[in-house]
Amino acid sequence: MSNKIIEAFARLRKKRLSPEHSIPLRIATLLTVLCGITATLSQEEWPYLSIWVIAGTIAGFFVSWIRREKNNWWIKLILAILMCWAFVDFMSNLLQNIYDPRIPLSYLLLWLQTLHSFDLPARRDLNYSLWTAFILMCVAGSLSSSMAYGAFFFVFVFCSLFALFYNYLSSVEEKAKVTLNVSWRSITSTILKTAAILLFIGGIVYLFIPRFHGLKIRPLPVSLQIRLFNMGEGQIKNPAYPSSGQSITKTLDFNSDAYHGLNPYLDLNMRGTLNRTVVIKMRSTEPVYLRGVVFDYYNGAGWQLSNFQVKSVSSANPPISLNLPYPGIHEVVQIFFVEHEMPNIIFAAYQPYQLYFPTTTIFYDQNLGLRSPIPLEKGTIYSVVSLTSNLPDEKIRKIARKKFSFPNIDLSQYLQLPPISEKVKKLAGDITKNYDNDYTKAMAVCLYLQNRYPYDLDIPPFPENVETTEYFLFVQKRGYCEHFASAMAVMMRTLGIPSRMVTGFTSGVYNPITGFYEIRNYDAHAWVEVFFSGVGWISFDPTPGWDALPLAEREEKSPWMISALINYLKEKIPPEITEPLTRSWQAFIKALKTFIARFERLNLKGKILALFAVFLTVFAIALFTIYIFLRTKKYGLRIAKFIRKLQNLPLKLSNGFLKPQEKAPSGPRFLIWQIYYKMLKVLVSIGFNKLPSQTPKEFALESVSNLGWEEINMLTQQFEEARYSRHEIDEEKVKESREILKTLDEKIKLRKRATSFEATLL
Amino acid sequence: MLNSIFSSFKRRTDEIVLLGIAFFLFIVATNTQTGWLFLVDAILVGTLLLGFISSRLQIRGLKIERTFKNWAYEGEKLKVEILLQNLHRWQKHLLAVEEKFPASEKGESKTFLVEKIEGSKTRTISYEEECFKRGIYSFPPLKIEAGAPLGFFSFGKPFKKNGELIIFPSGPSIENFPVRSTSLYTTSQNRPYSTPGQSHDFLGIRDYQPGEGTRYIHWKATAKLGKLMVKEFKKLSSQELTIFIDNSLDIGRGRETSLEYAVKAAASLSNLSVRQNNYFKLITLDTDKIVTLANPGHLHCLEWLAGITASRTKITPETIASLAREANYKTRLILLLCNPELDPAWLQPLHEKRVFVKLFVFDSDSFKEAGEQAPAANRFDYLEERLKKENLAFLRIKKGDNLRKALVEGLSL
Repeated sequence: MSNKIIEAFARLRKKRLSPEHSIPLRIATLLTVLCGITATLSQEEWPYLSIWVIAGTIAGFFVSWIRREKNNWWIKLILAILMCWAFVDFMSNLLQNIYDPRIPLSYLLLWLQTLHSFDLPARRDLNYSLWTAFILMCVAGSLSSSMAYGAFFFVFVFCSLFALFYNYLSSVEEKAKVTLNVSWRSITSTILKTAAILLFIGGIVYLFIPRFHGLKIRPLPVSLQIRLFNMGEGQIKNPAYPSSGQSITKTLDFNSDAYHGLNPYLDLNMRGTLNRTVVIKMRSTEPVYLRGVVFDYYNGAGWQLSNFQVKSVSSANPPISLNLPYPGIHEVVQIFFVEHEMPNIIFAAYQPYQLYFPTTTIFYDQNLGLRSPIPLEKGTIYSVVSLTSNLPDEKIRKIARKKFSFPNIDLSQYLQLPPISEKVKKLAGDITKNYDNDYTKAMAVCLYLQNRYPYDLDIPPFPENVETTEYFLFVQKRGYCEHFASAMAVMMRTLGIPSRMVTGFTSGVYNPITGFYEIRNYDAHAWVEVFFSGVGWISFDPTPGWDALPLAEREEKSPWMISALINYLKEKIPPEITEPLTRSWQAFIKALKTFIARFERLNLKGKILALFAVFLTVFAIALFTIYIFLRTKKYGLRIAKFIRKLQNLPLKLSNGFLKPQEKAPSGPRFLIWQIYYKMLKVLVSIGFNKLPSQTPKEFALESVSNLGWEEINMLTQQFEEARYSRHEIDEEKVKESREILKTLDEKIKLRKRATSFEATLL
Repeated sequence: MLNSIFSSFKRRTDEIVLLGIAFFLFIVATNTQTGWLFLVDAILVGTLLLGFISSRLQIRGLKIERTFKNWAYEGEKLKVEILLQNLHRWQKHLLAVEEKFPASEKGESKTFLVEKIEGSKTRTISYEEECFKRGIYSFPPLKIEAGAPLGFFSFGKPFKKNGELIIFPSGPSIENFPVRSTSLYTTSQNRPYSTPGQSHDFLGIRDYQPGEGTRYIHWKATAKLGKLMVKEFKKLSSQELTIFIDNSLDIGRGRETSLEYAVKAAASLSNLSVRQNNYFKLITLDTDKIVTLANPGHLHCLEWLAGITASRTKITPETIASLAREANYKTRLILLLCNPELDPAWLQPLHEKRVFVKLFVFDSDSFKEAGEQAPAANRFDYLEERLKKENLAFLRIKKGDNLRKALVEGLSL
């Protein structure tokens, strides 16, 4: 038995890999690891952990280098114990918040990496460190919501390229049992070139990575659960508007830092421009509007909630489920990362049915407006799964025609109106007179507003005691989203169609690099929900420039990253540049679709394929026959040669690119040529230009007769000898020619000075 | 098939794992809609693509030449030069050149590392290796492996460079050869040497063959024909010798085998014969027949001996009868026996032809390694007894014996 144990130990000893002696490899690996660590650490506030992990990793690498040839069994033992402790810590952290394991996981990884740094004797261990660094970078990437991660990532790429290069160098050196003395400059140049090519290839791959709808696998992330003893009453509390109470109808002071529509009362006379602060970052399966407050009571100057009563719903563990009043058909998953202090409104697409929220209880009002018991602090993460009824236009049209209603629903509050002028009613009637059902009527009003009234944020305030809808429609005739939404809601109600006003945010701008929809303050928006029996509440957006049916089912967005990037850039580039390009691209796509549609109309899918296959076969046979025929006939030989040339063309081209080009001739003979050409050049500067028709001798005769410099003759003779003789030209002749050219140069300089002096005298 | 797939998977473990990770990252990035993970994934895929392309480009445009002297003696050190020419304008980095010297003792391949070859430049690798054992070898393809700069998808390409290497056997030099035979024969076509000084009968002129002295060059004919010609004379018979190498059994390892000893002995004897201008024949066994080489030149003889390998054909009475047909009347036959399965009675045809037979018996059993199972009774003892009974002159040579001494002793018997 003891012998067997000894043998097993002996086998283990044999298995020990040879220690890695390369210092550059260790340094490059350390830098890569540090990059991964700092990228992860920068995503959260871990001041103490940062110091321990970074210092520990550096110390660990140093210890590993010092003790690389030793057995280090006691270090391994200590590390094993500490790793067990780290794992236990991870499990306890994970159990606290099982829905978002990223933080405990990164904590565990950081510790594992630090501990592992103390036991890196062989190259394989350093490889494992590189793996961990890569995983850390991935974790950091999943935690990051800003572009700063990009800087870490590119430094990581550079460092890892160095590490990989040294790793490969070390492995081949070990194989060949030699040590190469590769210069630092050579390695740097190689890595820089590699990095440039890698970024190019990686960039192309990135552009063509398909992006499908995700968020299929649950659970969804949520912040650490907050245990509250007092849940509050679920009323709206907006920290940016502290004076806004439960049913305030007075005008508030505009705060550019927060949207005034996220209050219990929406004053249509409020003016101001919201800033560009990012308030929410969202991951979503689709770009949908974020519903905040739903108003159902209109007083002529603004909108408010008719009923402040809220209901609560609780669940000890996420998700919190809600009963949907109307059937939904399309699932939308959204993850919200709150970036700025917000009111206690839980933003979500309509209709939310599952909430992964950091509290056990939430509130909802009669319009399914969600409230949190606590204000949304920066750093809060929550997820919502919604079921929208975003049917395509045709389907809604069909369903809306059938008059069946939902039982036990009192819709009278959505038809409430203050005294409204007849002009508004008449306008609504005129717009919808040609339409027979509610849906088409709503769409007609929406499009009328979109097409007839311009969007303008710089409008003067409405006068006192005017009904805002009437003033907007007939006097001001311009306005912003609240005015458009309010006007549509009021006109719907005049037609007897239930409607309500909604405030919230649009989906903002999608940043394809981070994968987040960035929602800023100025993405705050207002729109309308109209009720159709058999369907439920459908969102309409009458603001010009927006989609009339913001939640309607659309064609699948392009899955390619490149189109997402183009859309993102379009936001950054002025429309004067992008619009013509977009138009031409759309025309091309339209033409392509029409072409495909024509084929589809023929309904010949299988037959087309068969026909295509037959056509290809016939074409190939015909081509082959022609080729054979041409090769056998006399006149075809030339064509055959031409084909062969064409076949060789890629090879020739590649040879042209890849093969070394012929170098310029060198040697004493050619040096004398060069000296002669230099002489011709300097003679041009004083007005003696050799004509192409002149022989060197003729030119020499002419210039010597004018200038009287014998050097020209001498150089010409030497040139002729070098150019036309067959005997060897030695270096001495070159030296001699150089000396002559020097003398000639000095003479020319003197002549130039004399000429310029004469010129000044004149 | 499955094995090759499995081994290629094993060789590319890192790459396969990375591809798996890339796929997994894509799934994670899609599910979590994390934009940065798409970028990480793209760079990972880009790294693998770059590794794949780069390693292949490192090999592309390389021209390889291997230069070496294509023959050497056993135990001699041979210098081999490998010329790597980069036909591209781009540098090639970290090329691992795997070369296997076919005549080395262990047959292990060596790896040479070339740091870089500048565009349109050449690099030379040279090494010296001892030619361990005689034989005719061909160099296996030279394998160049490249994985620079990242080491992924390292790509090896074999460069087939035909190169045959002949390692001649190095037998001990024997000074004297006491011979008794007086048979007459005519000059063979195989024989490159004329016998100047012994006969003055001009036979004709023929092409000069490498290795011949310049003394007998026929200058007039050379000038007229534009190539070297030599005079050839008729020769009055001196001696005739037949050497039979029994290659039916080869026991032992490396250079220490019974057949190697026999070949070395044959090399010594044939070398002496060439030097003494004796007419001689070399005979060995091939499948179902004997192979004869009549009166070769020195290098020809060595080349032939280098190529001898163990044959499965055993000596039979018919083999001896064939030998008797090959050996002339009253000439001398040296039997270099490795296999003890010879019945002295079979030699009767040789006796009838009055061929003088000398037997060198290489005790194959003594060449067995320490661990190998020895036969219950030594077969060579039995053969020795029988040869003694028949009164035949023989010498038994064992592993480790001084071959030169043994040959001299055996020839003087």
